[in-house]
Amino acid sequence: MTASSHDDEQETMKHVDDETLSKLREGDLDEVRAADARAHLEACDVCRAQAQALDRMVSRLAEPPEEEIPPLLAGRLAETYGKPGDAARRTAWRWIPAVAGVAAVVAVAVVAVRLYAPGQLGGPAGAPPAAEKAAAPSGEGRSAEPQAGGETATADSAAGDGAEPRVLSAAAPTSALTAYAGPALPIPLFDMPRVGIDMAYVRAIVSQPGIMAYARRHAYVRAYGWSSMEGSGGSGRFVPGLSTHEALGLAAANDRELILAAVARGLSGVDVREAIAQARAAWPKMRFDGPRLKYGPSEVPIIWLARATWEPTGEQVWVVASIDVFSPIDGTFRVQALVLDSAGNALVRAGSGAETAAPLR
Amino acid sequence: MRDRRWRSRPTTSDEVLVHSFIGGDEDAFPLLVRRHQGRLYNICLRVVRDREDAMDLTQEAFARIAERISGFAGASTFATWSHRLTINLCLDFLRRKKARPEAPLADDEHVLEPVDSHPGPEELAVGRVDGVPLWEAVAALDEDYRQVVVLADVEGISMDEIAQALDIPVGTVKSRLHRARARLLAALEGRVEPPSVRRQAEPSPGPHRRKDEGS
Repeated sequence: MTASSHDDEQETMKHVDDETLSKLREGDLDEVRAADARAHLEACDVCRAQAQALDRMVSRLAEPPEEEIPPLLAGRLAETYGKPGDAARRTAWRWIPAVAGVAAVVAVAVVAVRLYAPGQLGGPAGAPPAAEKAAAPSGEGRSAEPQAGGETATADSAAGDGAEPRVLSAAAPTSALTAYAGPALPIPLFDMPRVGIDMAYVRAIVSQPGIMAYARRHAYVRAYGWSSMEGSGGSGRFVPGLSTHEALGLAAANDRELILAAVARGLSGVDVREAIAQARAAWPKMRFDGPRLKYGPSEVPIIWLARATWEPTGEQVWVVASIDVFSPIDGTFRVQALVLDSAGNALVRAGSGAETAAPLR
Repeated sequence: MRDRRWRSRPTTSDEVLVHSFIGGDEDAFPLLVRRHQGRLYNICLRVVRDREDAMDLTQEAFARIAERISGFAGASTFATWSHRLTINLCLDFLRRKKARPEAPLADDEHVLEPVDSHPGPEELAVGRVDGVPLWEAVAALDEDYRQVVVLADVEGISMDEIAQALDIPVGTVKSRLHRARARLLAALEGRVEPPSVRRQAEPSPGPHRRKDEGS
């Protein structure tokens, strides 16, 4: 409303529009326009009533209705902080920072080791090129994959049906795990000789009817270092933007002490399941199998996510795990997915970022 | 010295509980959580709208409260302090979300059946205020407008802070707020089009009857 238009407005008795009323209310009109508007309000019952309606509405906005807290959240909070008088839980929250490191390391390690450790099923490092693998007799070129409990199983037994695991190496980095630790963190974070992801279980998940509908709502796993580590419901979204390298860079920058503490607590070099069991024992409130992890094995925080396209080759793949690690200190960093082919064989890591340039959609 | 006298008084103030907790009585904290969990959850839900995110942020808020409670000086009430802390978390969340927008997954033809029957954020937003036109109108606003209204008018956040959180100029925040309010008023009055358009198009022999403008 300019001064001239306002003059016209005065003449024709046009009302003060609602936006202008709001501006007047908040002092966002210049003096001239404010004076004009006020003068109009004094003379105009309708606009005065509208200004009062605006006031009432703003007052009502300050008193919003509230919904009941979801039972799931109430349960989590009760589990984390306990109830008044619950001495057993009294000091649990003090462990939150330490568990953050544990959770982050475990979460990252589950994916990273699985994908990059030399000799892992489908992992790029140390694996022969796809052409070589395709030419190899069944069973060759696959490394042993120790399972939880100390038993050693071949990739075949892990895959379940003896299918030849394939390697899609188009965008796979050739760097070893140490590259992920970065110069700022020269500790072999992921130098774990054994990882206990149960591939047969994952394959069973993939074949579940209705799994895609589930995946839309449970699109990624979050590892809440400070409170729990469990599957998180979502709305079928995948979050691009950070490579694993970036994620760990942030981890090193923000959570260095926590990670170091976690490593110092002996997580490196142990079976993930065992590590999780240890973490559970040390902090019983740490949850790995909450209600929202319906399709994840209780031992490993892994969840079926969604089908996607592996862009370097255009192949349809299953994104099995995406771990969204929340820094308790300063923001979020995300670790992305373990990818299986349609047969459930582990491929390379997927996700977005400098190393793969293959954002999942 | 622990002050456990609050145990016998169910109406003990938050501030007494805080001081008891800081003094070493950790049983006081769960009571604070139970008292304020609904309020903080609703703050988060209003700001981020997504139920899952709201739940996550509520958990984070209590973790942050536990971490920083020793710094609670009592200059404000615990409710105010925790509200501010929670809002800050939500604003951080919005900032991060804006920096790294989430991309929808591609549709898949193999969807067979819905497994999870939880209501979505839209259902929640409307369903929880069923029968309350103002809140239905708020939920129906475009997200840019809704966000500003919620932050400014519902949560009482300053224009500067909103601008910073949403990474937009203060002028844009104000503009959105005023426009959003106008839209809300229009919706409450049953006017579909922006009120200024309708009123200016109408001859104005006084006295004017705004309620009839949209009909």
